[in-house]
Amino acid sequence: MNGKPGLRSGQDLLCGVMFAAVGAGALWVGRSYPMGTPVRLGSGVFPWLLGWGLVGVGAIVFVRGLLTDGKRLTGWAWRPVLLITLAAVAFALLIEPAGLVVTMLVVMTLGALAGEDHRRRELAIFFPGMIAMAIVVFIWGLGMPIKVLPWN
Amino acid sequence: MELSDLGSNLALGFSVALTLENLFWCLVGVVVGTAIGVLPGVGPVATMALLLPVTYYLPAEGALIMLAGIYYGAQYGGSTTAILVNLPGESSSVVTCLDGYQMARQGRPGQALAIAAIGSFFAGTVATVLIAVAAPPLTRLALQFGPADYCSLMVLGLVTAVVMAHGSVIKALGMILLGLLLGIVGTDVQSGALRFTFGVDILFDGINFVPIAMGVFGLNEIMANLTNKQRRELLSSNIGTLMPSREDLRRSFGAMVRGTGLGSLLGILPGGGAVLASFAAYTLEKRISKTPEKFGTGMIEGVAAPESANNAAAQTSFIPMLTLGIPSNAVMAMMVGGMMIHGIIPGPQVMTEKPGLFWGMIASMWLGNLMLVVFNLPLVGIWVKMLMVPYRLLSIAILFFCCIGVYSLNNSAQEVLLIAVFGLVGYLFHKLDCEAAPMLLGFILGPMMETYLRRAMLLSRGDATVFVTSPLSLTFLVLSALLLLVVILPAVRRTREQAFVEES
Repeated sequence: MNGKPGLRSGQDLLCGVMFAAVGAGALWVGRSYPMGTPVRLGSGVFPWLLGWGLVGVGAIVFVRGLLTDGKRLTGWAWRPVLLITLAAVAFALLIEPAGLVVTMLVVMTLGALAGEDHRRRELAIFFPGMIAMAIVVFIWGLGMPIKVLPWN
Repeated sequence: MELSDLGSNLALGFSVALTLENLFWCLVGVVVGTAIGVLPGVGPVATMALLLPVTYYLPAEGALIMLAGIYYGAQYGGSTTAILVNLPGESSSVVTCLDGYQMARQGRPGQALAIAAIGSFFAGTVATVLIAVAAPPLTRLALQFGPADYCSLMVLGLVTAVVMAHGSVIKALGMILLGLLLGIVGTDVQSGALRFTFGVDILFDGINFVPIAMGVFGLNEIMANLTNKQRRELLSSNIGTLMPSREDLRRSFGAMVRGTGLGSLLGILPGGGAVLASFAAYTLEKRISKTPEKFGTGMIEGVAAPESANNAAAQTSFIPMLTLGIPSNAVMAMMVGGMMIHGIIPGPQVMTEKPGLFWGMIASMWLGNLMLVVFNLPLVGIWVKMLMVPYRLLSIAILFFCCIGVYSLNNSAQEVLLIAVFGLVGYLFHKLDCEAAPMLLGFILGPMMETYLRRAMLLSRGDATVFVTSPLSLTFLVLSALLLLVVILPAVRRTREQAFVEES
């Protein structure tokens, strides 16, 4: 539990801030978009409506968080969140320069580390199986233009 | 004349659906659907998102037939896990656990599985006919809508989605607005101006639907599932006889009919769908039963009604998407995504411009249901074995498929970075108790709504009162306002909260 003492519903407060911040951001970024005329609405009208809508919703959620006892924020499961995100980033960075096999090994290792129990012997069978399957399906089957090994 | 139309339409549909190729894609869809239905923690939305890139390689008919099969196939699979393991394989099978698992404990798992399958098939058949009958008149009606009517109809759809969303109404509203905003990122079709692209070139064409869906549903599901562990205990691998007794059938029949009726109705409503339908059907059975206290102890009605209802709803939820082009839940948003990949703009014109696709898909639903009922029961043993695949391996496979799936769309590594971003954002939503499904609906509807809004203003020469002077538009707006009012009223809110508490 890391809801700060005194805050009645940490979850609602943060949620309200998030909505309002996105809304305000949209209004700020979209401030230069033309509004056009009533007959020919410009590209700024819809973002303007949505921006204010989000600010309004955010304010309501925030105030509700101040007034009522709601759920507190619970701790983040940093390990899976970070490792899974990192795995997707690794895929994006590696797939073109390093090819399928290296990318898969890195992505799957990060994926395995994200879970708490991973068994080496099991993975020693699972990884090659997955790699073989991926080569057959994606490269031979669907003909995706990915190299298999870094030096191909 | 109407009737002969129906006949010729269905004949056209079957002529498309019965080709060897389309039968194959239908089979793939329902098998994949059953598989993910059996597995807890893997839902139809994430699976459809995973397979969207694959459909790129298929003809449009095959792609949509397969995607549809995943959804209703999942309803069949979900009940298997619910009955045998007391875990809902799908959220729409939560209530099936109550009586289904008890039946299994009393040594009648076979009968429970059989009734679930028969009920689903009965519901699937009725719902298919219902779609075929309801679609043409609804489409004709939709073709007469002006842009203002359309705009208001979308408002109604989004408001209903808000009302039906689990949890907080105001948060669901915020998520819809967020989705609408994400939907208009990129080049404005009307003026060519760039909006919210921050100079990032992959955003110029707008955010692709697939990375959002995969990040928010695929990656986020892994993150959430890896943190809460489930124990899977298989009751017994011995299914016993599948034949329900005459008494079982007699008692189930009424429940199936009622479940189908209720499910069909709830499926059509925006934001509705299989989950709500199964819960409502169970409640109804309990209420009208002479022995309500026996529910939860292995009453066969408690299996027949929700399983019929969830399948009926899964299918009738295609009606608004097919006739109006408006997705009513996250699964239908995926279907729209699938159509757009093939350059089909969903809406009433699909039926007239692509009758083969339209009726082929409807006919395939009945064929798919038939396949499910014929193949599934004998294969139950195999499905159950699948539960032995530990989630620690499954999660790794899903992670990789998400990445390569997005990459295969445009061979763009940058789009894979997008799923990382949306995975994180999705986890934030999860932590804040904000449901992602309304956001996805908003995302799909955002550009459409803006276009109709502009068109309405142009046609009315800048007069915003067109939204209340057109009778249709006025009706939709009044309905939306009433719905919002109803939810805000405390009495209704309390029962609604109760309903969702029981459901989860």
